[in-house]
Amino acid sequence: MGSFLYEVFVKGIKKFFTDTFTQIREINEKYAVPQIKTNAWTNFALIMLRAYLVVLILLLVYKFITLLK
Amino acid sequence: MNFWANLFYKYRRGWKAFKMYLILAGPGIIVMIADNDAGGITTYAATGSKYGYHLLWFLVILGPIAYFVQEMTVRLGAVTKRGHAEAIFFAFGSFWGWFSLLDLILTDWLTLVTEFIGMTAAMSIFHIPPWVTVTVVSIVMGLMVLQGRYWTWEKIAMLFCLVNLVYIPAAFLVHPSVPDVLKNCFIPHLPPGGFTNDLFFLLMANVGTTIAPWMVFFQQSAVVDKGMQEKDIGMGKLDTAIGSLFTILIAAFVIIVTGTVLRGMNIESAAQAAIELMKTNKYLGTFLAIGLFDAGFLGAICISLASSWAFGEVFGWAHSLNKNVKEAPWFFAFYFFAILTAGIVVLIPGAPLVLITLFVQVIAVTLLPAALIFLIILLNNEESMGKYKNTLLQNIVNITIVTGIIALSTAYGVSTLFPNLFKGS
Repeated sequence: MGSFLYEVFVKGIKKFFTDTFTQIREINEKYAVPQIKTNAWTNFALIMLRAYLVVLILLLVYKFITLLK
Repeated sequence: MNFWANLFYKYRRGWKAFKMYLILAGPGIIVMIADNDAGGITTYAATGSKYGYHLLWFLVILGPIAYFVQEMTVRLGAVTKRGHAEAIFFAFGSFWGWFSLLDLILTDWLTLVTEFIGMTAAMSIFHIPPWVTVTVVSIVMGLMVLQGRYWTWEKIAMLFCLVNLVYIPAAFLVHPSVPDVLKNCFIPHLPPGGFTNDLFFLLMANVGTTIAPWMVFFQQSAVVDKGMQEKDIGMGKLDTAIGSLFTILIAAFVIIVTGTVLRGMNIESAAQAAIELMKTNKYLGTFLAIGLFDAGFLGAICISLASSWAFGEVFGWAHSLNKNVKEAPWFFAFYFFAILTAGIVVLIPGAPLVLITLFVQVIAVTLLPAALIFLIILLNNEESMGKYKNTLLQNIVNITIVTGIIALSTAYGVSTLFPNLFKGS
């Protein structure tokens, strides 16, 4: 019974995660290089977006810390 | 004779165009009406009860704004044949791709929980226990996708869109002052009391509920799954325009009902509004409760599909409603996983539902700017869009709209995090 459960669940779960990570690696390789031609405006927009997200994440972290206090 | 022949020719041509529209109609109307989801109805009920008809003009402005944003997804989907998630991976690489996909999954799941909260609250008014609502809704949502045809799913969804029109007869029951309504619709003005923090918060909430990140992903994927071609873009735009008209009409009627009957009350949820309306007129309360349930249901069917489509596009799984479970097992597994987990969360005693409802706003503002900026950049890519890329005028309009939406939705999200930030005036 124990070995049956091991076969079905543990190996099954292991296989699921191995397959998923393999797939994620393949996706990363497939989309490694951005295909869009960028210009100054596009680069500016993407930099602003990164800055926006960093500020938002800092605000979330600040809120989390103040909530813990 | 020539006159009659011309008239007959025009009639035939019009009838043919109408039949073509009926075939192509769907994604635009569904996404726009589903936009008035459970959270949306709550926002409109709160707006009406707080400010009466005074903010109707603001909704009239939001209609075209929603149209201009969603119209871009029609062009992008029909021309590139890619959903928004896949388009982001392809154009901007895996960093922005994973960011958008994972953020979308989280935002959608949290929003799905809020839709279940709305549906269970609405059905509780009719003394139906939450577990029955969650079970029945999950089964119906399952049956809708398991029948194996996108077309059938779409037409069933459109029937549920029709139920959303229940707010229109409800508004006639309260006998609103038509001249007052019309005046408030077309003359922009501040409500009595001027520009206050409460007003700013409600304006932000109305913007936040009109444009949500899942809408962009849903409509683009739906356009691809439906198989719309470049020649169908015109009809797709018309579909979106009609949808935006209906979404504003429905929102306006909710405001008219609550603005007439519940004026001056502090309404915090649509279910509370329905209960209060039930005290005045049982049909009125019933209409609002049915509408709230339907809003939550429409939101749930679209949001869960937006996530499944996005995941399928990126992972390369078969991801179409035209497939059966054997052909697209992961697509359907993801769909059911999202529904069941969201439904179960609502049934857990003491689950932090209020916190989840607030958290949705915050998480949504991390995704919305990215989704909209990517949309505009993709629409300017001549290589993939060809003659369908944004014109200068479209860019001016869309960039203005997107900047405004980002500013207001960010202010809304941040004010949810720090409730006292905009207080003190």
